[in-house]
Amino acid sequence: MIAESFWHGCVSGEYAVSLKTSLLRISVGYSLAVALGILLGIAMGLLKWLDEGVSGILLGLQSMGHAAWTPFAVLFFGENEWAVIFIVQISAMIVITLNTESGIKFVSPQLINQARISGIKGLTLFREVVLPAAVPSIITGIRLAWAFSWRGLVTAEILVSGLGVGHILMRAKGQKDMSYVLATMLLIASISIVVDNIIFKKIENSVRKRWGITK
Amino acid sequence: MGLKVENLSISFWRKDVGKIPVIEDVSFEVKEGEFACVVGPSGCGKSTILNIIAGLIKPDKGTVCVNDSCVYEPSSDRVIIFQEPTLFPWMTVLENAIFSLKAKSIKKKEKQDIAISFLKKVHLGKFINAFPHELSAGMKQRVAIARALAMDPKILLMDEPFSRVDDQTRFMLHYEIQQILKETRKTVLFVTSSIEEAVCLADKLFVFSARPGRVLAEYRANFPHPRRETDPQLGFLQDNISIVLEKEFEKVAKEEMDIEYVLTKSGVLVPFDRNLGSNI
Repeated sequence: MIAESFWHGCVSGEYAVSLKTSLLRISVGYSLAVALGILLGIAMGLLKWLDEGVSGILLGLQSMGHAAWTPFAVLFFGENEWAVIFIVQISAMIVITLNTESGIKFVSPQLINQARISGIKGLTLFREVVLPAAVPSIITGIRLAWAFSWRGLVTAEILVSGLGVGHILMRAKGQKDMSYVLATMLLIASISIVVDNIIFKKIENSVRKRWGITK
Repeated sequence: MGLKVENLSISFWRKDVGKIPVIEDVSFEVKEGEFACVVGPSGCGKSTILNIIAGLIKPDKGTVCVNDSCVYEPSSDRVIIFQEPTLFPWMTVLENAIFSLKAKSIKKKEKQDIAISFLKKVHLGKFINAFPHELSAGMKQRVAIARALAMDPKILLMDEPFSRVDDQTRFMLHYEIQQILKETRKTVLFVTSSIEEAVCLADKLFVFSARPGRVLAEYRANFPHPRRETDPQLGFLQDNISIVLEKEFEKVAKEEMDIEYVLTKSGVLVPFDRNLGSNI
């Protein structure tokens, strides 16, 4: 039944059209999240006052579900692509920021001292020591954020816009078509897993291997 | 390039105990090309002194002078080798060694040649492309030594660099470091809690008191290099120092336990069966 629905979704072209929209949204939202999240995380890791002011707020925002952002996004951006992208972005960014920040803040002072005695300081110290040392933690952040951004995307598509995979779920629910709902859920999960496996896991593994963290 | 430390004092602050003086009014001098050792009980501020000399910690009082000019900032003329071989885990052995030369204004090719030549000197020529996690503790420490020597410092500061490696490796590293220093003629300040190690390596020894650290006594060890820890002619000096340090140990124990504490001295030789002729 589910396979049948899945097949139907594929041949009717509904999946193809929806996925195209959804993937465009998620790639824009997710890229923004990665860029802004890492920048904000670095700033917080380096500036104590910013960290003290912002990290509590971020944690508060994180505890708010993706759905809670939709009224804000729709009122702010209108019922359009940007509202969806904003929700994707905000759901993914916070975990990246928090991970980047802790990665930067917990760089071993031994490594920093080692660089200092070689006469390395300032921007070079940051670029060559602090940032690379934070890389494993940043990668964990962007990998988690990938899953979070899908959650944001589906929520936003159900609540806001008339297109995308989330919308298929909504329509299938309207038609009381359980097998189509399940088939679509499987589709969403498997895309997320496939991308995670072919991109993020590979990056993480290569870093882990290089650092000697893997057994 | 001589090193002169004058009236150095530093104390740390702890919320529950208050001010803890770590070192108090320490002065000593290491002449150019000399291998000096600071030996003292654990917690007497030995590492703190090295960190101050390296410019990583600011003292409360006192000065560190290299060739009569006082120094306050870290610089590549005073390089410290830490207890842990702090290698950058994302760089290969060679990259680690080259990285320490980053601030020097010489050509890239030249940096690489220098790095390789010193890695060869510590017998790691075959491992230049390995990552730190692929090396044993002793090998990592050798990378740290090669890296420090490659920077061509005038003064080499060593903070118990061999305390984490096994005995066999340590003996070998002792031998190698003496060979290398004989060739390079560096001024060295070496910190250790092992009397045997100190006597084995040093030309001059400063024995430190328990916290707050002060210089209790100064010894010279005029034996030819390279020496071995087990060399019998070092025994007398080792014994002398250990008597001084034993008193310090008693003092620490007294302070901790608040009782008269006396180390049990060795007594009469007794056979294992304690049979002192009663069965005759």
